[in-house]
Amino acid sequence: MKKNGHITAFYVETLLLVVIFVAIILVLTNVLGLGRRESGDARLLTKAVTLAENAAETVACADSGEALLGLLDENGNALRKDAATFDVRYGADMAPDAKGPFSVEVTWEPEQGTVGTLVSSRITVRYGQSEAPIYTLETAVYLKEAER
Amino acid sequence: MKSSQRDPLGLYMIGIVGLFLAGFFLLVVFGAKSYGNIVAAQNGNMETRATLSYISTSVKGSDSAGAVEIMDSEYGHVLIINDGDTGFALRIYRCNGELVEDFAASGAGLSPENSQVIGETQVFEVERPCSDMLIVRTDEGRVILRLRSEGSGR
Repeated sequence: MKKNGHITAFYVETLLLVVIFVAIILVLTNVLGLGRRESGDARLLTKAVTLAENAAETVACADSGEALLGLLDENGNALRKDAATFDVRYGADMAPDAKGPFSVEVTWEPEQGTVGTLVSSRITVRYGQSEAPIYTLETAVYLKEAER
Repeated sequence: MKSSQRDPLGLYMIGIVGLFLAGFFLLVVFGAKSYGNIVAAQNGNMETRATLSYISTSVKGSDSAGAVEIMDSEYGHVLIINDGDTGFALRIYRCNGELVEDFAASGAGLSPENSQVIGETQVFEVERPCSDMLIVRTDEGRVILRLRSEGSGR
């Protein structure tokens, strides 16, 4: 009777131990998985920032929407979405690729001033099918009267 | 007689110990693999920043009229960034699979033995599609720079 009671207690204790052990493994697996995901996101963000910076510099070099499209386009990777928006595609290695997963949306919004035009541009980088932007950058360029 | 019989408690113990060992083993393998991936991604990010951002900062820091030049050499393209009117220049080029820089008198020969390593790259191409635009390509991608000093003064 006494021996049976001890054995039952032992079974219960070991089962409890297994449950705690499995819970610890699940928590650690989640932590490691989260680290892996965050690391992948950081890689994407670094690339997105570089692509956005490049687009911003290209905007600074352009003096019209047409010129911007010409500067952005490499091997047919840039499309005009509407009058003021361009979509430029890049591969995972950031090389121009019309079917690449990186989408860089660049706007060209001129605002007439007294002696020139202030052009604002919003650059949004997305990856894959996701509509959520990875990185967004706003820039502006001032065009003198003669440059328009 | 009794000891020859299978003891269910003994088997149970062996099962529990086996489960623990298998769990620990899988956890260590998965953890090591995840850690390896995280470190690889971190190194990749660092390489990208080191090469592309360093070049960008170097050019923008010395963006005066005529400061930036491109030269062809035995090492391929050389990006020359003149340091104002001092007569010295920073030269960035690729040597033995590494992107290096040296600081020497303008016009002096390249000296990779005295250079500092920026990062590793198998590609280093510098292009100037128009007077105020500079494109630099490395393994880590490319960086586009607008040379404010060469623009139309806006």
